[in-house]
Amino acid sequence: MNCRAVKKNLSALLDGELSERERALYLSHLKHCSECRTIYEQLLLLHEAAAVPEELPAGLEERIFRSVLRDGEPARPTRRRRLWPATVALGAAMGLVLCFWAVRGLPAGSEMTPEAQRNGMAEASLFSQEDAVREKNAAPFADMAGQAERELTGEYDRVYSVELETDESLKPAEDAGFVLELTVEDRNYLVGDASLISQLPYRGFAGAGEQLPGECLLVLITEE
Amino acid sequence: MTEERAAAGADMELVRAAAEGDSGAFELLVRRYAGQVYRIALRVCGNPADAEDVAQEVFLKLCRSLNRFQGESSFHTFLYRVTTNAALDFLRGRKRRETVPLEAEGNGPLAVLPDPDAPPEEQLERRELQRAVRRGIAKLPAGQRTALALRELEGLSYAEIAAVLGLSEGTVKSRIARGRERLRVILEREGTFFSGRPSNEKEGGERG
Repeated sequence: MNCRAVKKNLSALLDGELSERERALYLSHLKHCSECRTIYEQLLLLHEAAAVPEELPAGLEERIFRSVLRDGEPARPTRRRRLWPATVALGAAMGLVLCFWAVRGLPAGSEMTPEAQRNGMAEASLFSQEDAVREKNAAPFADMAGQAERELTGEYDRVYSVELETDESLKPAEDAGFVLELTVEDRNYLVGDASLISQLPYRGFAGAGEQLPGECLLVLITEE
Repeated sequence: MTEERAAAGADMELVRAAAEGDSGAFELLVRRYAGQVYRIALRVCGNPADAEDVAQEVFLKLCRSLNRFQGESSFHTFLYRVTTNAALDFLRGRKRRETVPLEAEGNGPLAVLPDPDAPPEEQLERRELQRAVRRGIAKLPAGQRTALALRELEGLSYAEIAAVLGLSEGTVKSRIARGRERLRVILEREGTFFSGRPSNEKEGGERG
């Protein structure tokens, strides 16, 4: 057993992640190899020091609890609500974008804006309102969650979709932050956090961004 | 182990009560988990103010999601997942808005492993080491910091960490190994390991 292979697994040994057989092999290597043993001892030392929890700032729990009381409330049993998505329509449409988003547990009191109600865009839904996304099991979302570099948090209650007309095709900015381009079943998706949308240079969406509920994941499909 | 399960069972009672609107139950949940959430956020974000902002956001999200938990494992997974994601999101936000170097400023008061029998010099050494380790952790890439926080602070297995972060176990294993090695090299260069503590005092003991 060479030192190079051993060094790669010292953490796994320390964390108890090796099989009995591997563990025995590694320990016997450490008995005879002072270089690997020294490194192991150092890792152990660091692990023990890192495992010591930091002291908490005074009043932390109070402040957290009070901020939740202020800005939220314990969730009530969910009632299924229809939420008409915000829509923006601009002049001559050059690009047609199908936009849908999954919403998690809307804060109480989030309303549909009158403008959105007035617009009354046809709602082209990819998913019916009721059997919308459940947990992460709806097909495109499960795939996306699998493909996303970071897990897209949470489990989504429902998905809404709308057709938007924009006058330019959508492209994510270089530094758009949490925007991922994914291809699922031959369709291209841009996935991002709706709360960041004001930072995305999509002219057609500047208006929509202000009207979207705070916490939702925005999924844009760019149609060919 | 039965104690843990009893505690976990009691948590689900709290979650259910809170979901019904019992704010006292929710307050108990905050008291029980605020520390864990804060500490993970602290390791990922690197400073106490951001960690507290993240913790507030996590509990807000928890508050809105109370009615969706089937059991204690989904509750704990949710909490870890939301915490790590919120902390990582926070970091991304920071990078966009300002160039604040991510350095731990000592992270406030330290909790010292109580050991009244240890001579004062050793206690001081331990505290110094903890400080050095935290400074070193702050220099690691965010992904390594996150995996390490879950391993060191919460004692999660590689499989559990993989489930929380949505990564493969192999990725978790390599992030932890690389993170620790990088940390070790940082501290070695700082002279941490030449503290005069004889190396044969620490046996290369295995952890259960």
